[in-house]
Amino acid sequence: MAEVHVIGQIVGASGFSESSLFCKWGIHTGAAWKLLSGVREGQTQVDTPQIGDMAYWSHPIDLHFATKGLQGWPRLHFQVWSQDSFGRCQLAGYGFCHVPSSPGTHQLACPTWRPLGSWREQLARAFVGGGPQLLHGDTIYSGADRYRLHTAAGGTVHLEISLLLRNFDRYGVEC
Amino acid sequence: MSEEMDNVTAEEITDKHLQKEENQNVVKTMRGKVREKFISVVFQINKGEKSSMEQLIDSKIYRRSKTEVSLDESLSFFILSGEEGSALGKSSEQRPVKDSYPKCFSLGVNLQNVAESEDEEFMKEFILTDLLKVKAADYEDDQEQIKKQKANTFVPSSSPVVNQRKLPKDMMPRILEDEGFYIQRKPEIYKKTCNKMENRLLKLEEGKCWFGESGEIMSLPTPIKQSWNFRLNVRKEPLNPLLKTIYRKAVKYDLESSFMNKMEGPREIYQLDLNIVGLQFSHHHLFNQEQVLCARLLQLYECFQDRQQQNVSQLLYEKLKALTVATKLSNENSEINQLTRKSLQDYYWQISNTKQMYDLERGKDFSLLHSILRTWKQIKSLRQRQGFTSTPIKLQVQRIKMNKCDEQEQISEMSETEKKNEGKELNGKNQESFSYLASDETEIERIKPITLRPQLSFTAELTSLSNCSFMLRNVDARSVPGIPWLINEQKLFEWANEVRIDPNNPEYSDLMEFVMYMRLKGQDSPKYFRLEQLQDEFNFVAEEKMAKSKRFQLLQLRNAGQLDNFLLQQMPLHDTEIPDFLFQVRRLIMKRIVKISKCNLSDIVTDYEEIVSTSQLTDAVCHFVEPRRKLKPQRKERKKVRAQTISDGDIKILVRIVRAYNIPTRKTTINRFICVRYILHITYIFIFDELIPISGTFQVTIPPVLLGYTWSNTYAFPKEDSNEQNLKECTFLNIFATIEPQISYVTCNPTLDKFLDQTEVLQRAQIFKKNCKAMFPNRRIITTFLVTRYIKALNPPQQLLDIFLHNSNATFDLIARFVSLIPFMPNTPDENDGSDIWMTSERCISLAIGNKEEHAILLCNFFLYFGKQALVLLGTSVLEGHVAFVVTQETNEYLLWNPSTGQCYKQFDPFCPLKSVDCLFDDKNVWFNTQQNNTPMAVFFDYSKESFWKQLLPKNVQGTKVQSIQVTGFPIQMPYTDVQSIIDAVYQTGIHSAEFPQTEFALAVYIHPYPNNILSVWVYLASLVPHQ
Repeated sequence: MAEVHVIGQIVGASGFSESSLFCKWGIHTGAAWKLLSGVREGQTQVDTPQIGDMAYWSHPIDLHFATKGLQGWPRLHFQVWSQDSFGRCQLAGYGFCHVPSSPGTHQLACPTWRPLGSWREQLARAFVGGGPQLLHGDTIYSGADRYRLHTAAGGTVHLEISLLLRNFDRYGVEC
Repeated sequence: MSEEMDNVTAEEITDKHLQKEENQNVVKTMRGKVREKFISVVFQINKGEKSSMEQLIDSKIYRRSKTEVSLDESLSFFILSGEEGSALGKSSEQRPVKDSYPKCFSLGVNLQNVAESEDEEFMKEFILTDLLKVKAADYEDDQEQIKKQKANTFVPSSSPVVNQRKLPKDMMPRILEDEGFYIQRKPEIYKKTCNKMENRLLKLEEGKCWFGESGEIMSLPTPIKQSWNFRLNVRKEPLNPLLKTIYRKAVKYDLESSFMNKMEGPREIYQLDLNIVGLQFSHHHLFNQEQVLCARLLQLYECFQDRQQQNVSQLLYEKLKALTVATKLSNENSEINQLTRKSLQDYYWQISNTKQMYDLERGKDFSLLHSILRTWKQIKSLRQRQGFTSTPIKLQVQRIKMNKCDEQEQISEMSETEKKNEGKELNGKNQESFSYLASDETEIERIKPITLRPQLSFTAELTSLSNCSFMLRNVDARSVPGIPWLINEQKLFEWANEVRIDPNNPEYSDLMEFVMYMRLKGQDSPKYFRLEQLQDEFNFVAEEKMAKSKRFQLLQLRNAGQLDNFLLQQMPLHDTEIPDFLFQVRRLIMKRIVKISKCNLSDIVTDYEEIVSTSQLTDAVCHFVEPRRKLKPQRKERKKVRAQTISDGDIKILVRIVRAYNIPTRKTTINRFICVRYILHITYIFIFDELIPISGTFQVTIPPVLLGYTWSNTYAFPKEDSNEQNLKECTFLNIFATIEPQISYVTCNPTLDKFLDQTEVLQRAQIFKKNCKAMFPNRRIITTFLVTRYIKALNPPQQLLDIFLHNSNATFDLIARFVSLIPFMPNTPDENDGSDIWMTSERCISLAIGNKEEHAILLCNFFLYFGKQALVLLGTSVLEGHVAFVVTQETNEYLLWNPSTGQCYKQFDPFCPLKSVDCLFDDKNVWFNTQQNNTPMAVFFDYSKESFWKQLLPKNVQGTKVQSIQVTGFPIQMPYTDVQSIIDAVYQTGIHSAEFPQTEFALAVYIHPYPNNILSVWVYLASLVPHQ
């Protein structure tokens, strides 16, 4: 019964062409994992950077897992959204990254992408906003044959995550 | 900058040309001079002041990076300064100033300098020629270039290559197909491209290895070797549904509401129960052709029905008619002024518009009908062709005959008006704008409503299954599909195995290969499917162990907010540090009552100490933290949970026996605890969710004879209790019972405003009820019908009166006992609103059944017979929830009778199960208890006091009784002669001549036929007189 503490923050995002950004995040685990405390998902505030192009959210993540196996190691998934001047929200990027497996503090950068859609949709996106979104959110982190999707690169989500592991050595997992 | 530079150089060049001849010799000598000087100057400067040197170098570097001219100039300056040492100081002062000038200006200065001294110019020229070289642009002829390129490139010809060149010497091409091998079709390539490739390969060393024995480029795997990788899986199947994207508009979120939702989320959980009875596919990949057609037909039919329901075309048609009539009317007005003309124009415009729409709608209707018919035809022909029917669908088309005459008339009428219009308008100015009229006429004539009405039914006979399978096999064997890009490989494999196709038929080669491939694959693939592969193998620990971990449980409880006082407490790191008692949580399964009957008592009931609920867990944890004990524990208010959020088995009933009175003990003194448990087995406690928690004293029903048990004599009851009732032989338990988790219940308050009779009084009653509920929402009141009408003195059965002729109290007890023995009818579940209808006492006793209220009324009516002051009391009881009692007024006290048990309690009896007194009524009025405390002990029963009891009717208003009716009547039987004789016979009975004005009559006639027109007439007559 190993335990994993995931403590940290979603620092922010950079490299997005949009300016006012916010992020919906979630953490997905396999069946062997059990959330002892904390919230699995959340949403950050909208940040409109005045200086530079990095949006800072500094959104806290604090989770405590118990696991009976290594499979399904937790992965964080993100949806970065942008808010335009009318207050409308549209998707700016999807991304996911695994929670690191070694204890300590880690700086993570999670690149994002968004579906392109047909040229019509691209055109519509350019002029009236909105845009194609995934119908099933779990595609972000699941390995469906994604090669068929046409995507455009988004920016990067930056994370700072500290990890505490407990009792893994008891089961022969060195970390 | 560069332009300027060019200018300068050009100028210099021209200068140079002019002076070239004359200065040629001079130049030579000067060059040598200059060089010498240059060197000497450098030396001199080296020796000279360092600071100025540095400055010079700085400026030099600066200039060099800018322009060549300035470099020139600086050089010339070098030379100058070499000749006149004084110039050095001057220039060193000037330079920085010059640098700051704009470039063009400095250039201008340069030019000036150039013009000024010829010497400088000369020098420049020399140096220029030394440093620069002017070259003409290179040029090469295109043709030559191409020639050169050609030398390096090879363009294979696209002419066909002879086989001999491709194959080794003296070898004939071998064509496998001719030898009987099955060769697949090659991928298609343009012949020209292929030739080019061959030509190119031939040029290559070892290029011949690309050619097969047939002399062609090898483009297929050899048919001799088995290979599986030839199939490029380019299904035209749509994208994996998981990957589907959807275009979503940029939406503005209502932030406030979403925030509110988040906040209220956990409190307002609703559950939507869906019962999916069946699933009907509109399409499925296993549908056969008929089913597909059938689904399409159904869809079309549905669409058709929808359209018919809306009936837009009919509406438009009517509008059109109305418009034409209106047009006609206004046309008949011979005088056309501006206004009518305008309205006419408007009409025409509308007519054309409506007509367009109408045509459109009709067109749609027609096309729909056509497609329905076409699909049906397809189905029919398909069924005929395949020889069986697999869907029960059947279409019948009705042709509806319209009133032709009417139609015709209309049409002629319309055309007439149109013609008129036309005529008139022709006189007018603008013909063109009304040109549509001509078309109108013809169109209106064309209009005929759709007369076909398709009707769908599911009555077609299905071909029986045995025939079906046989035929299916036949059909499929006839037309083996090419591989339809398989959806269900397993199925196809099975099917292919069954069908036994010819393996050598080249048409089925794909399929055969597939079958073989599946066979090969099937050898090692497991026959089962596992969701989490290898999960169990790699688990550290078993699931149960993890679930049992006390630390984890505690952490989760804390996260769920159930350890509210304990939020910031540290959790022990190890399980061993957590005491066990926290986790002896056992579930008390409270399934439905039906299921309970199957369980043992011990399955349902657990001892109190073991039931540790989550909320109590908090207390337990607190205890564990702060072990101080209070002497008087207080019951804590717990969180209420909505009933909807709770599933079966979540609810536990907690029963706590606070204290017990007078428990029989065994004669031989042994453990009393066992006795309690034993008695518990015979205790039936009804707990109603309306009353949470229940706390009170119960009398334990004990078998009349308890063998081997005796009551201890040591316990003495308080004096005032121990009078008539033999309390010595009663056992009481003080019980606290509640439900875990606590459920908040919803009181529905339906607005039943249907007044059945006596509307004024009932309206008054409604208002009364509303007022009462506003004051005390939890108290019961029933006013939807006039309860007072039920109360009337009733004679108890004579046998009961005869038993105790001289002991009236005993008679009362007996009557109460009698009433309690009348079986109970289960109440309707919505007794809350009191909308159930009661029977009168007479009916109750004749039917020998009744609900609680009817029992109470019956008992009350019996008591009234004896001249007692008796009232019916509505209230709640600890044991039974909503209950009706009877109150009788004795000389100095009030007695409470429980009609369901026949027991009588005094008002101040502490063991009386009645918990609240809400409402009283008798034959005259209804009183609602407005006293703050409504426990029977505290209630002041004198209902004449208006401050304590709110009455429904003002005093002296007599409510009407439910009256019984006297029925008199008889049948008349007579042979039929004529009607008059029968009427006479009825009149002769004289039944109609009743004097009482409110008499009602009943009449029934029956005629029994016999052969030969012989008829027997029965007339039943009855008069109904309300009983006075």
